Amino acid sequence: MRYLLKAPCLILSSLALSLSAQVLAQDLTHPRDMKISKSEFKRPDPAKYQVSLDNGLVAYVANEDQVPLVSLSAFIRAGKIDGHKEGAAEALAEAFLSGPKTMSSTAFKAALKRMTAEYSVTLHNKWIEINLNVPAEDLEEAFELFSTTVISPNITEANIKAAAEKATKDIKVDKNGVIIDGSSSVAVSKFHDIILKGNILGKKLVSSDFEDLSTHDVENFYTAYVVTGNMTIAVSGDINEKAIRKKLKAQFSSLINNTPPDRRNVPTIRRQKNKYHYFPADKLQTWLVIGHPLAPVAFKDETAFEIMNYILAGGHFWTRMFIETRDKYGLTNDASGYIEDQWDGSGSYSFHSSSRHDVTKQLYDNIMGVIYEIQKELVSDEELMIAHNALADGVYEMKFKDGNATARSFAIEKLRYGNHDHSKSYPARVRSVTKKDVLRVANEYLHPDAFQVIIVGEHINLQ
Amino acid sequence: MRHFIIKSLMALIFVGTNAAAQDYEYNLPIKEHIFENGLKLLVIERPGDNRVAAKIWTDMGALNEIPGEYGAAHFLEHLMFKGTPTLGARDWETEKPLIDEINITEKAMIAELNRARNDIRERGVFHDYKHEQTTPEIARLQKHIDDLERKVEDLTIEGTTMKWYQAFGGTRLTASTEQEYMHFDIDLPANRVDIFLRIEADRMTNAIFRKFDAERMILVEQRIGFLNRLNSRYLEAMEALVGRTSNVYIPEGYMTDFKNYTRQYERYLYDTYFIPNNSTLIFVGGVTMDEMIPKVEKYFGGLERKPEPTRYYGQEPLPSGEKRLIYRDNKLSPRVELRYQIPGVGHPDKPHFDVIKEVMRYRLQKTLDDKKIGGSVNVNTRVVHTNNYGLPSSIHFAALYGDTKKLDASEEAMLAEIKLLSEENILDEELKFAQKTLRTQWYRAASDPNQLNFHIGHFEVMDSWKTLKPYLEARDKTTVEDVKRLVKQYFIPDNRTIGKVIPRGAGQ
Repeated sequence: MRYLLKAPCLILSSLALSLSAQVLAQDLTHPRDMKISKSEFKRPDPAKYQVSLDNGLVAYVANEDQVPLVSLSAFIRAGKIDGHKEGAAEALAEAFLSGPKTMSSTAFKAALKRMTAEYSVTLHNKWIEINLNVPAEDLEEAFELFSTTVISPNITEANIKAAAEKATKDIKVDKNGVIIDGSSSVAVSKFHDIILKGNILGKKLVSSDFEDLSTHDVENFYTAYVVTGNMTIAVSGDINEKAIRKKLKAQFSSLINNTPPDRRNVPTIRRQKNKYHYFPADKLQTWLVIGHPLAPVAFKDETAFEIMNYILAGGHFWTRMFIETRDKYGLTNDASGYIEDQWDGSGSYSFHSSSRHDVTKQLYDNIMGVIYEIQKELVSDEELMIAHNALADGVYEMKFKDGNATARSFAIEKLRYGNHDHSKSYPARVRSVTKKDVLRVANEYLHPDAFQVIIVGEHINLQ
Repeated sequence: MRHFIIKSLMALIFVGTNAAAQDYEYNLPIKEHIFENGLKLLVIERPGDNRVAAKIWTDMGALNEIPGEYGAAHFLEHLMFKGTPTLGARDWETEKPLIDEINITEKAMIAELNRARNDIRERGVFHDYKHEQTTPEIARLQKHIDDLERKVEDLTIEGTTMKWYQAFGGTRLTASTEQEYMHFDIDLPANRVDIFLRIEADRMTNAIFRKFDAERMILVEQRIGFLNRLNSRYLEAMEALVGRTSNVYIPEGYMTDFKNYTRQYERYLYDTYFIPNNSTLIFVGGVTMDEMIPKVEKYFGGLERKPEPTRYYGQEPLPSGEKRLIYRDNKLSPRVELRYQIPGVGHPDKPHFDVIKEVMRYRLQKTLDDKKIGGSVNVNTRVVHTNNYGLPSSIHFAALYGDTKKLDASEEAMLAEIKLLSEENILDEELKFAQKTLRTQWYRAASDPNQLNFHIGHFEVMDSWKTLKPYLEARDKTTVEDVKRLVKQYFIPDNRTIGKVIPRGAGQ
């Protein structure tokens, strides 16, 4: 503690001095009074990046030569909810992971390793994304592997088995029913199980689903969904754009331009009556998820809803929820809101947090307090201004921050909306949101009476 | 790569490095300017970028802490989000006397604690050793502080530092404190960089430690969040066994440390290290050095150079014996792990250990697979949260299993493989592949202005930003002989720590 004895003298003598002397020397104009220029950002023109093949496939090509790397991505509108055979999407994702039909999975993995590639396949509820990142010196080989994998994936029994192992994993509990490795993701998983029970979005695959699944079924799924009008491609990095456009035509012209099957009818997720769900776990913290299904947010309400969430719990340091739980009271490290991917239908809206056991009830109360508040009163002018700018100048700009981000953003937007009007109009739509809009959407889309409250950890009495 | 080469030529002229040693792959067109008060400004200009990744680095961290106050540097970072007289105060004239009184009261409380410490000490064992209990006077003073804090709370606007960044399109707002540094980060539209300079100059000079006790609990939350991970306690036990003197091997505070933090000690750290001549501003993106110099001058130019802070000067003694940890846990996967101390950044051998790490990753896995021992091999240099230090740290070779049957065979096979590497050259293709892996990793980091900024700043506090490029180039020049030499020199029994994770037996 020797520093402690020295420190007070140092502090008390210098604190006042430093605060007064240096304040005078510095420009401490309050940020609201500073003359800060408007952002000069203009969304890139998608037409400059777009390549349309004769078979209808749309790709986006962007040069980004700060480093000698290349990214290749495919986005396919086919997800867990699609197809007539359960597990087919999961097995196709595994097939994409194991490479093209023309080579063994082992050889494919060896090629990726040789290139020092990063390769991933992510299966969402309503879409699949395939991402490959390699050094530019390996572009030729990588492009060949990527395109042949997309055009002709290696669908095998082994893929089905691997998919079954992944999809049927359960949360482990001990003999007393206590969750062995409690975590935020366990709490979120329980939340999904509860709100999506009986809905295709929450389907739980079992071993028998995969026993009934053949490679023929997976091939049928592939043939039905991996068609040109149902996917987009993005290529970016240290590339010759002209050469890439040529390659795209050469490699992907053989893809068929069929109409994909109609999507399964996903019923609107029904809101349930407010309920508390407790799952014991043997950890030092309790995890809390509060939320409900989210009805499709109308296009006219989309940005108002985003702004409402940004102010309430938008996953950054300055939200009402963060301030009322962490900043003021030190109850948690984080409390944030999550809007689950909707893509043409219902999703969910939930708030996630964690705390030491003895303050979970207070954490819950404070979270609920800010939720009720945003439904009762208009947000302030300052809150609205900050949310406008944060979304229009911050989050939005980051989607186009470089060639890689731009190609990816446009490819996903095209797949989801069919055009680029959504991103074009976004800043104006954000800035047109009023305080009344925020209050209205807070009441239209937030329903505390339907909240499912999931506790993983120690029981609390919410009364 | 055309425009990068042109930019790099400009930078070479600017910093006067050796053009003959250039390799286009690591062009880092960093420009440097040092202000009269010692503040350093580094800029990588990326014309056409609409945004800029901005960070301010301070050369201080957990290395500067004292026992009993571990994590105090990290806590200081949290406190530095609590505003200044001009950011976060509703009425500074009213608040200031309250803040002063809190500080005076705490000083009295520390004096009382020091006076009474011998009386209240209870000689327990480990965690129940109590020497910081309370006295009626301490309780009275603490209550007075609590009352004052509540009054301050009514005069405070929370989150002010953050909100003004967000109001001007700031993203990726964060801060980080590790053993050697603290940095505050933001990504902004490039033409709005003034807001960063305004806020950070103020934060560096005028921070008010509001909400001290509430914020203390955030560290508790972070700590228990970390301890919830199955392997945390094992890793801390291993780290503590590998090193002897350096805070590199100590986590960001044990539970027993958090209650010890005082405003006085935090203020000491703040006043000592948060000075212009111990700080570096780094910008990567759509700004130029020419435009940044007057802007930085405007906001930071008035700050005075202060006495140079004492740098960490602890030295690890030479390793003198093999150490073993047996860690018993029923939830953690059984494993065997070998750790060796290695030099830090700034030592000529360090870049070669990056290569060795990549070589060993595949070699050990292949060896264990070929011998039908299997397991999942993990090779890394991560200690606490960080992979790289300017101080000696360690390299780790671990193999994880579903049960304990192969642990002994695995240890024997890994040790045999290491011995073999000290006697025989690795294959040239192994070396080339490891070097390519490292290059690709670097490109992935450098493709993101935020990560590139991080690496430049990290090198600046570990050694110097000027050694980043030579470091990267040195990895490409590693030879098979270098690998053999270093394995022979460093991977010796006396420099070895072996950890084993096994289940608890009955009755344990």
